[in-house]
Amino acid sequence: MKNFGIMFGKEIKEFLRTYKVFVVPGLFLLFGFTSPIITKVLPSLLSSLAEEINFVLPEMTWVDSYGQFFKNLNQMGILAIILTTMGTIAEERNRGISQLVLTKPVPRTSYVLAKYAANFLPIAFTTVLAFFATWFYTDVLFPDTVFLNGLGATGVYIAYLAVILALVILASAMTKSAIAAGGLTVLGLIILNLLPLFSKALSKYSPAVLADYIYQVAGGTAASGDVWGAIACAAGTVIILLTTASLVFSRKEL
Amino acid sequence: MEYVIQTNDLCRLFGSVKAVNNLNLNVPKGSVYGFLGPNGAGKTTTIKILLGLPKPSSGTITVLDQPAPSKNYLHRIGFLPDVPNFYPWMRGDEFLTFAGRLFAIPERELAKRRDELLEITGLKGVKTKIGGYSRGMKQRLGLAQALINNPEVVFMDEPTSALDPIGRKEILETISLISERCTVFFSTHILTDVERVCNRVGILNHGELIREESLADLQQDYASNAFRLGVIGDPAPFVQELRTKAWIEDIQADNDTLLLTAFDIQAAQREIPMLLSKHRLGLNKLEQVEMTLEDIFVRLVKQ
Repeated sequence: MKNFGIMFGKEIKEFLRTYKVFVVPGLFLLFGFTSPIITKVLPSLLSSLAEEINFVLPEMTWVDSYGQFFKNLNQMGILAIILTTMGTIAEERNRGISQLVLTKPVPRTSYVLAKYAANFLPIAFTTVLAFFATWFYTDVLFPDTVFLNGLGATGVYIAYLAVILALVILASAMTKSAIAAGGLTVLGLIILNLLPLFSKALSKYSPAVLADYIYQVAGGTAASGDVWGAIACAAGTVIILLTTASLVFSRKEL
Repeated sequence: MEYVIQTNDLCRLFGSVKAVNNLNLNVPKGSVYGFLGPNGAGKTTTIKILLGLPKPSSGTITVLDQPAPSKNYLHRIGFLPDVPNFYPWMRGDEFLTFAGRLFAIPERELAKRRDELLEITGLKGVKTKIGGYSRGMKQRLGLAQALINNPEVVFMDEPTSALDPIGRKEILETISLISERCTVFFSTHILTDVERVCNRVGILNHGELIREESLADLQQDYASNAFRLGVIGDPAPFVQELRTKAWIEDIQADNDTLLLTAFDIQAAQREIPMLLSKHRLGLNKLEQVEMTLEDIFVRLVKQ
């Protein structure tokens, strides 16, 4: 792990000084602010758009507001994360920058782990900030909002994010092209989502089911044993993915 | 002689192609070693192997008394790739600070060294981000980062090939300057650059080292047995007969000027006048020539 700190510092600076600082945090904060408002106005919006059709919508609650927020993060948020991080190793290798850095005393494991940590931490931090925004507006717009449910769901989302990001890092370490890395990540995500179909244990604990647990935790209906089990499996998956990424990258010719 | 780089029967295969073939390099300490070869000869592959980027298929390497591939000597070397690329969002001084910290250079010393290198490479006071640098500026920054740790050996992969004449001159001057304090291993196909700064050469062709010695010795070897003849008359029959002689090594004809290389210099000196007379040719020039590195290189590669 020699020089991890210096590589991590460099990556954080890169995050703060390039477009990356605007894309994911901007998008997450936008979802944080707008999700409760959209949830609140959606029924009246739909009614006013098509007055001749009689919509019967259940009354929206704080659970729907949280649900809307996490649905946005799970779709557009994940897509934005993949797009902004898929080239993190592949592009540097392709452009020869990694060659310049790795002929200095930087172990490849430090290089890979610094990439992961420096991409994960700002996004996790932004997710928490965005949740606070959503919680604030949800509390203003809906009665009886439960803060802890939302915070718990944010934690589950961050665990899910950790797995996705580890997958992107592995894909990026495997190829020399950002687009190929993006494609590999999507393939990995498909495989990850198919895993719960193969056994009962996987349907409870595989990282992909975290995406479902987010909504259950937000609504207060999740079985905490299953959620903690899935988080532990997610942690194990992250370790396996990052170890594989380090090994794969160590064998790559620069 | 103390060597800082040695390879023994180094091979690197790409499928069935031998990019590097039984390479035995000996780079003396303090030398400016020109690693010459045509495009595709295996120069870049060799440098990358020496830096531990790919592993060799077979053979052994020693760099600064450390067996390679190993990371034990990385803090004692510097590397300038052929087209150095950097983080475009950084400034040049920031990249040097980043590189210096990777070598764990104390901050005060690092600041001093960084300023000195920026001064030497003409980048002092440049506040533009690296993304806005010209190719020559990137090359100079590449050179500065290769020197930030006061390396004992600097590897340079074709450092001047992409530069204009002014950029080349600046880089070569800097190489001359740094050669006083470290060994420079410098790959190129630009022979005039080698003649200007190197004192030892290794010539590589199809992955094989075909010659390795000091530049002076190489030029001496080839200077002693080469003649330039200016003849009056048709030289074709003369050339035809010369080719049958056991003492002739090579003949290059350019109209009425011939460049002869002989295995046996005495035999050549004795027989050439007789043959000229026999073919009734006049003579307007006969001189022993010092061959340029380009002449030597072309001959060695052709052989």
